[in-house]
Amino acid sequence: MTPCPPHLSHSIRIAQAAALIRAGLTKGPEGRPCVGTGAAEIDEALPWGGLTPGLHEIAAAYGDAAKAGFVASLLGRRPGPVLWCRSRRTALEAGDPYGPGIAGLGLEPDRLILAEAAKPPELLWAMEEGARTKGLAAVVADGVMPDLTAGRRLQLAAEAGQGLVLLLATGRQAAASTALTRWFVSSAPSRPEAEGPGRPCWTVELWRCRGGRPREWMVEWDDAALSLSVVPPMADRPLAAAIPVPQGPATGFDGARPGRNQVDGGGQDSGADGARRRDDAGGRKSAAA
Amino acid sequence: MGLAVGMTLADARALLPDLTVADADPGTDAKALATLTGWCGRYSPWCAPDGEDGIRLDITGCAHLFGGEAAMLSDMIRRLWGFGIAARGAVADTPAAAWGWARHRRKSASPILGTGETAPLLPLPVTALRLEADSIDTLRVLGLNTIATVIDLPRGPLTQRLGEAVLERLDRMFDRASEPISPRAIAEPWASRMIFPEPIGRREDIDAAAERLTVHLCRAMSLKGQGARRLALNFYRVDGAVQHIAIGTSRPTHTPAHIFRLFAERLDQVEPGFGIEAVVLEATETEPLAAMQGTLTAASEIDATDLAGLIDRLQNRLGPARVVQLVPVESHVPERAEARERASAPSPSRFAGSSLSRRARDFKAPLPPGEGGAQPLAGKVPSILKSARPVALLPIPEPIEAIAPVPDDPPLTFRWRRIQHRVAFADGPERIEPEWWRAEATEKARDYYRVEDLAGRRFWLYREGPYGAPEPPRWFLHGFFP
Repeated sequence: MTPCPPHLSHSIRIAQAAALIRAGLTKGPEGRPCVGTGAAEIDEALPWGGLTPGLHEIAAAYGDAAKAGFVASLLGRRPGPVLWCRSRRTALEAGDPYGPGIAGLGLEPDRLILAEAAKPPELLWAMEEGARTKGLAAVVADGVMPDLTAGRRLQLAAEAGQGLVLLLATGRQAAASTALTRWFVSSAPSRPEAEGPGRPCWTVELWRCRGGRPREWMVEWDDAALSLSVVPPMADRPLAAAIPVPQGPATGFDGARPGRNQVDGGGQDSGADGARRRDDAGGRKSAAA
Repeated sequence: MGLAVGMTLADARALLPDLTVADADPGTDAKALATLTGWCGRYSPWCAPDGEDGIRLDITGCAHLFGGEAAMLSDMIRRLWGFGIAARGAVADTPAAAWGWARHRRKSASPILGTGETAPLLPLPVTALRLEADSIDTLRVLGLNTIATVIDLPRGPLTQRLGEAVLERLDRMFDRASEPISPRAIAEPWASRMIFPEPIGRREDIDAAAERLTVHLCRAMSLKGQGARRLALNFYRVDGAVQHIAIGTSRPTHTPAHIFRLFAERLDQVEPGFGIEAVVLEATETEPLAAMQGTLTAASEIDATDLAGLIDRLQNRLGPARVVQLVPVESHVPERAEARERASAPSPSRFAGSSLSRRARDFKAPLPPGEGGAQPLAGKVPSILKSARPVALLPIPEPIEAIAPVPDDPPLTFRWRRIQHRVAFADGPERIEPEWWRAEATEKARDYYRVEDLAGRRFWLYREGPYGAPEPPRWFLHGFFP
């Protein structure tokens, strides 16, 4: 925490702190308001100690809902309504936020205001209006990439309104952007619980950050504590580290799965059980083998 | 013709065989009477329906505008006969006297009773006192047939015998007791208008006019504690064309800046042509808007007002149906478990805390079958089950090609949008039956699976229909887990 200049009286400092608390923001190490991501390691890597009001881009591969999950977990950390803008096409392709689901990520569904616009200019207009409005936690835009001018306008609007503008993108964006931070989030294999998939795991890559350095983390969402935590990538997941995260259809047939072969051939219930079960240690065993 | 109120239909038909008969409709009659009362506002602002077949007007200070009482009354009666209403009228010092004189005077008598002129009332029958039927019967039995016979009776015994009504009516008729008229309330239209000596056409002038009208109307509305929900701005052009701009707000407002900003975005559409000579701003729908209690953290109230403004601007530009909020619905069918309703600004306290609000608690992720929804969540159910609903749901489930062992195992591999996914882990099935109690629910039962592919992407798949049915089951992808 930076020392306060002596001419600032206590009352001013208290008023500033009260304003930050009302806005649901915390104070970063440089004294700038920000929204923490919830994971201390990530917050430390960001020069503001969290996401500062402004434009942030969060991308994921086509058909990967990790970005929606990551964004919902961020939004759960700041009170206030959220304006979620998207085109009809994006809604049909990537799906719309689903109330019962996002509630599990800490984002109360009644905070969402869904806006749908037919044309990109209208979408940008809606985003800018939202960014300028005080009291909104964030403006989320799915499937619209502002150019440099529009991006700058959004950035200024967000600074005026003290809100986050989160751009959700599909695929790694090559184009230059005015975003303060650019993230690439991808789903990572989870640690399975009893049966089936475990807690959501994402590989969060901060690949561009104004005033910061690119980093990458493996995070896990704890849906009981509603918190994000960084998990060590090597400790108990040799598989996740060994297999590069496949992108798209390139996933080859995994020959090292005896249980799988058996199931394909027989299709009996014991084989299927094997396909569902996997050991944490990495060496996969089939219950039927 | 001998017809009278209270006569049986058979008697009436005997007198007049080709009588047209219609059922009585008191409700419509009352409405028509209220409308006619409104029309009577042209003679005096102080008018009210009287009973079910009369209208009374206080014409104090109004008669001279029509050339005196007699001219006013004859004009009124002439117009009413013109409407097809067989009206009779009278002017008297008191409403009760006018009532009796209008209904019971002789045809030849003048309808106007001058000031202090009570003598003509005395020979009227006691029915002119507007008493209940049994009181009149009692008076008639006693041989008291005219007002003159009643008026001089001692007051005490009269009250003992007949109740207070007779004396009260007498007093009202002879101006010994007042009978106020409560006039019909007139719903004032919320409008303000501006007429220009010279037609205007510049954008700046149009803006300035709209702004001044907004300020004027808002001041009037705030004095009466009203807020506008729907407003229309009409531009009257010199060539006779009228241009409308209509806006709506999500909650009642009388903040000039808010309303003007909503209009300002649409003022581009105004085509002044050869000039605009008049502008009228009208609040077509208003609601009471009470002063709001300020909160300790004054900022939150300002935020709520800002938010209302944002929602209104979005809805006016994008369309009301395109700015929505999620509302939980009690249904176990995933796509019906939430509905979208037109977004409205929250009350200032709704987003005050970060704790789950009431609506958010209603969005409970249902537990998988077997776990039992009644059990307390904490401790017993693994935490992962709380997120058994996807974060994103496709509006239309997409068919996929899946290979799965029979009868109810999750798929081993599936192809969605031309990409093959191999399943690493899966959880399920969670069977969701259609809502048979809804007539339109014709779909089959679905078995939902949470699956994770080798890359770690998590999907929500379902199989529609069981194996072994005449038509093979189909697989769909419905949502995405984070």
